[in-house]
Amino acid sequence: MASLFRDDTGPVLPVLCHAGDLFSRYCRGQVAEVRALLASMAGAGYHGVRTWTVLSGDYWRDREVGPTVTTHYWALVADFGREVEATGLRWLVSQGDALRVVTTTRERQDFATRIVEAIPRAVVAGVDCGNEAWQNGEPDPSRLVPMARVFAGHWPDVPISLTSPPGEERVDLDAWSPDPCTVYDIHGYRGGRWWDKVRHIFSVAYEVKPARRLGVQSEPFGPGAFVSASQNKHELVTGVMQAAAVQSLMARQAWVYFSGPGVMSDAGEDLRAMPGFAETSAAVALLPRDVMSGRLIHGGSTWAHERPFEAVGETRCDSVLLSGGRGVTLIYGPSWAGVATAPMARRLTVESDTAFGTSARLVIWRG
Amino acid sequence: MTDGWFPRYSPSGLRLMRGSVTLTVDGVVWSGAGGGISGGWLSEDTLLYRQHDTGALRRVAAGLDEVIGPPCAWVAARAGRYACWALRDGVPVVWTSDGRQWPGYGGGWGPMDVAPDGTLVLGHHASGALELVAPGARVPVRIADEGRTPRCGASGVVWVSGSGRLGYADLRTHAVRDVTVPGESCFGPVLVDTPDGEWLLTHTASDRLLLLPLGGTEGYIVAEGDTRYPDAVWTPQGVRVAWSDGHGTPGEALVSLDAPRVDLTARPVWHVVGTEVDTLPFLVPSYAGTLCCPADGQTLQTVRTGVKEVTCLKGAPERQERWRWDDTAVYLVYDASDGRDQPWRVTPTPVWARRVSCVGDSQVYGGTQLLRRTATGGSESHPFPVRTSVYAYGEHIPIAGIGRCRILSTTWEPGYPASEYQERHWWAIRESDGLRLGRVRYEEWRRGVLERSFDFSELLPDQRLEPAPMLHIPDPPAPIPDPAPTPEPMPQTIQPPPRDEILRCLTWLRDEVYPGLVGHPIDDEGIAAWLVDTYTVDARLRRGLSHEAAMHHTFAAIERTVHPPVTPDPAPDPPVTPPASGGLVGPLRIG
Repeated sequence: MASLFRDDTGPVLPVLCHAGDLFSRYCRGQVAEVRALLASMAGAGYHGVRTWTVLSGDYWRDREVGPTVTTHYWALVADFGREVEATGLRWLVSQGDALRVVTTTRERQDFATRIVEAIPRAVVAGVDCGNEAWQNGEPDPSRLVPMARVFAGHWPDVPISLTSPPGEERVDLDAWSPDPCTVYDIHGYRGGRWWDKVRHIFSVAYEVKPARRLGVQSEPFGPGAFVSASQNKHELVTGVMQAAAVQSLMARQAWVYFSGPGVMSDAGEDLRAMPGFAETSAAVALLPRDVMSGRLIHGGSTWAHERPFEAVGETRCDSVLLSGGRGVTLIYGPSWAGVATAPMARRLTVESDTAFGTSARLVIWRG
Repeated sequence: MTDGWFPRYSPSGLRLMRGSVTLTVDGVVWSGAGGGISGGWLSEDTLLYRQHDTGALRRVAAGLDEVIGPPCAWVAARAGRYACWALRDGVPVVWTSDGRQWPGYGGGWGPMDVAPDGTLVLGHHASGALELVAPGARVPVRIADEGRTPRCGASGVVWVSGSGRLGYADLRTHAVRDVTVPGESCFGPVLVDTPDGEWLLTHTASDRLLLLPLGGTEGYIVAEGDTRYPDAVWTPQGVRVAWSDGHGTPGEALVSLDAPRVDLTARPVWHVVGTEVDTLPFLVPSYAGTLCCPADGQTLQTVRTGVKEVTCLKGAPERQERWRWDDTAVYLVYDASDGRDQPWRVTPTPVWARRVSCVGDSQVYGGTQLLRRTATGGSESHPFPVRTSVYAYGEHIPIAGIGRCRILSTTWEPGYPASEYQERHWWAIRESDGLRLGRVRYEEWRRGVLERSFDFSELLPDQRLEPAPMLHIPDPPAPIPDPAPTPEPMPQTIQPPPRDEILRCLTWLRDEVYPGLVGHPIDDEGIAAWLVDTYTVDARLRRGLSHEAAMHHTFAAIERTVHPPVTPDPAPDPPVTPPASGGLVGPLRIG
């Protein structure tokens, strides 16, 4: 049986919200504000929050958090875990800049041990060894394996990655997700036009085919001033963010809604007002829960005999074929609204056809 | 030119327009109002096109380019008439040059066409049905419950439906028939009117562009590989055919209808165990260009580096495999392509494949060693048992991006048998022109499960790489015993069992197991052939069983055939619970 994300009810499609500095704000006493944001995330339907356990360096001046700079640090880690749990959310525990603070293997293993002792397994949505570690304290993935083994030893079936790699090539994704990792981590493509970004998510699973079957888009593209290295950010409207989240889950990658306030949540932009914040989880909820068990195809001529919709020009029709003749198709592109596609064959019964603004359509069908 | 999309010939076939963004006419970029898409010819000297950036319908005649209609998504034109469709208030609407309109029709690419007499064939958007409107009429008549991309000729229309079925209807009588090329899934059909009747141009799922008489089975392979949105027209010199590939690169051909025709209906065939195959033409490519795996950009290029040697380069002069052959076999003698800096070889060199081999032929090497060159120029070795085999041989196999091929599959199993790991290499010879492409697919299997695969299906222009010199990999100091290979028996070279034993088996089967077997009304030749395969080839020669054990083996095979095991009903699909309305229940995990 193919591996899937699961909870006690069966296959799930994890969609989380990024609020990287939230733990830092909690440690600095902004408890009420943090609780409000957590409540907003839970109310918007997210499964959890990704936030960093350690922040250091000039970028985070006056916002630093970590075992060497924060009084009662480990108690605060445990408390924050309880805050997350109280809202019904889970914590995607990213170690942020930890590898710059704990630099030896032994120190990193000890750090990981303290993490697993402080946070109950039930609260954890996933864990990594650092954020963009290749440029943030550890360029050699093999040196992070002992730390990862501590996490895996205490939480054997947790979604675990070392970190996101520098690129989307298979060699990078595989190098940064060795055993005991159970997922690959990826900071998604942010270039080109919005449909290029959405297409890249699909391509990771369809073309690149990392060794790990499941992934996590932990810092994909998103709106807001603090999302760096992005092209055409003005195009990232609600419909696009919905399409991206749906595409990610179709392509077997948990989705973390990312935005400027998701980096710094108290720097001017309101997380709750960002395009797609309130609409993302509802879009994902349209998908069948076993969508990650299916087979990916696109609407090009390669799949002429199977595709339920035909791709025309830059309008794409990416599909997942499921058991029992079921399937889902995401239709998106620059001009899809002017290209009203019909199913390739009348054998298909469209069960739902949902528009994400003028950006995309999600069609759930049965053959 | 990279915008060779959507070619359309003028009625005479002398002029050709192309372009999805940039309009090109007869190879010259049209410097008119700006771009074009999905055009058509109103007459020999007048063309219509949809302006890319505004959608406006424009006409080019006598050097004058002007807007003649509102924005549209697509236009079809012929013999002075045209039809367009566009979304109006969210509903697709088709309209014609004479002012008729049909709400609810159109949508997508190529949903309608106009015949020379003014008949309009158009698709109903919601139902997918294909309907026909007679010249001047207003009420559509359904000709197919499902049909897309209709193309009209003077007296008929073709379209595609379902999974690549082609339909045809007479424009006057509306009589419908299936004109799918037997054994193929067909797409993008075009009707070509010739003095000898209607011909069909169609692209197939096996990546062939075919031209044949409508309803026929013999014709011409116009092109192989990625051909899209083709168009064709008869001229006295032959049928002109135009298309583009998936990148918009234009293609064109002129097909003489006097040339000998070929059977276009050949079905893929995978030959049985024991079928003889000459492996050398597969393993020594003649293709001088580069094969690319579109998924990850890996490339393969084979270069002749000796009288009986080729080198396969994988993207860099140093990343190479060296292959050599003699009168009996082909060998992989050197490999520096596994991503590590130190090349390796296996000693004694195992046979990759016999030159004259057969499906199922294999060799097992239990005492071979892998020698890998060290950074200091020495070598280090470790035991490297390996099995090689000819896994499969097929003909008329469609290979995406290349066309129909003869295929040889060989296996390389390092660590055999303990590793349960197998690499399968698929080597192709294109049938249409005999081009020996070499390796077109690579698979890694573990415990019977395909772990990953790569398809080298994109042919790139020749980007000549020169192989770097081979690095010396010295033999290890200690002498290595020379294990004789232990090939599994090859039926053609080993004497069959004595005739009297075979006859005793047949007699036993006839008289004691199934009385009257030989007199069974089923084909005696078939029974005899099956018995030879099972008793002689499989049991006696391949498995090395004794006469008595072979008889029992044969009996068991008969039993399985006559009384097959009951296949349990497939397990029902696990119920799919509806989407969760709230958060997660319990810990999030991988499982």
